[in-house]
Amino acid sequence: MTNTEIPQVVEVNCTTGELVYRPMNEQELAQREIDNNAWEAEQVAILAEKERVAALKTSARNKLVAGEPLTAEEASVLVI
Amino acid sequence: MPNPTYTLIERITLASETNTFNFVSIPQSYYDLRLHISARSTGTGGTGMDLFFYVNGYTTQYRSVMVYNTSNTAGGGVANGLSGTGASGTESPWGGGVIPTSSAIASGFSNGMILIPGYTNTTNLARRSFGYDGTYPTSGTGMITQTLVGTQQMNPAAVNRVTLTVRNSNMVVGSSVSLYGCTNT
Repeated sequence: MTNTEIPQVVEVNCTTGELVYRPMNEQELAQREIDNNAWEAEQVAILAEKERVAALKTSARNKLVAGEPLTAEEASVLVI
Repeated sequence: MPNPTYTLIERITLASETNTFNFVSIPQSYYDLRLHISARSTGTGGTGMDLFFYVNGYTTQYRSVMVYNTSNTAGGGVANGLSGTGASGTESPWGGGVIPTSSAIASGFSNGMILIPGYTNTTNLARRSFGYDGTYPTSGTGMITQTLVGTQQMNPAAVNRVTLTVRNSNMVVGSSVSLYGCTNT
């Protein structure tokens, strides 16, 4: 699908059984853009959170080995 | 429900590439709704493509948590993905699972379902809950990805419309979604 093609919607009325194929309307196209952008933002947030937790765990392990006190945030990733 | 019986309400099998399935004017005469999703995306890149799932046309106020397993070893599998859309502050309606792309094994389709329990019930209900459970083949024999998604929508109105749309691509010809109603008979 290229950016210039309008995506298609298939819709069935479950009461009458009527089935139609139609192009997305403007509202649906706008929502599609919102959802795609939100999904991409979500992926960035997930990756950042994974990296943050991994860094905290590494720091906490290093401090434990060295006998140094942990921060509350470091302790929180090691203790439930 | 001690004696669940499922009745096919409608099934759509795509005759041409399509982005979105809509089921409207859903009868209010069953206890639960169940959708079976056999679909494949035209997308490329990774082997999976997300589905967005709406009820009643609501486009906001969804909270979803997704867990997925990938493995090519029998008995293996580790939880290597965790997504909490509420936790990161976004509220888009991706509770519809994941389907294979053109980069997955040839001709592979998803095998998933969405359950909407008590879809007409509004008594003492603060949120509408539904869940996706499904798999799709990835890139070789026995290689599948399993996806579980739990979603809550903040408006608990009776469900009379459901929408499934695939992210950034279309669903291929032959993809199908079947809507069942469940009674206790």
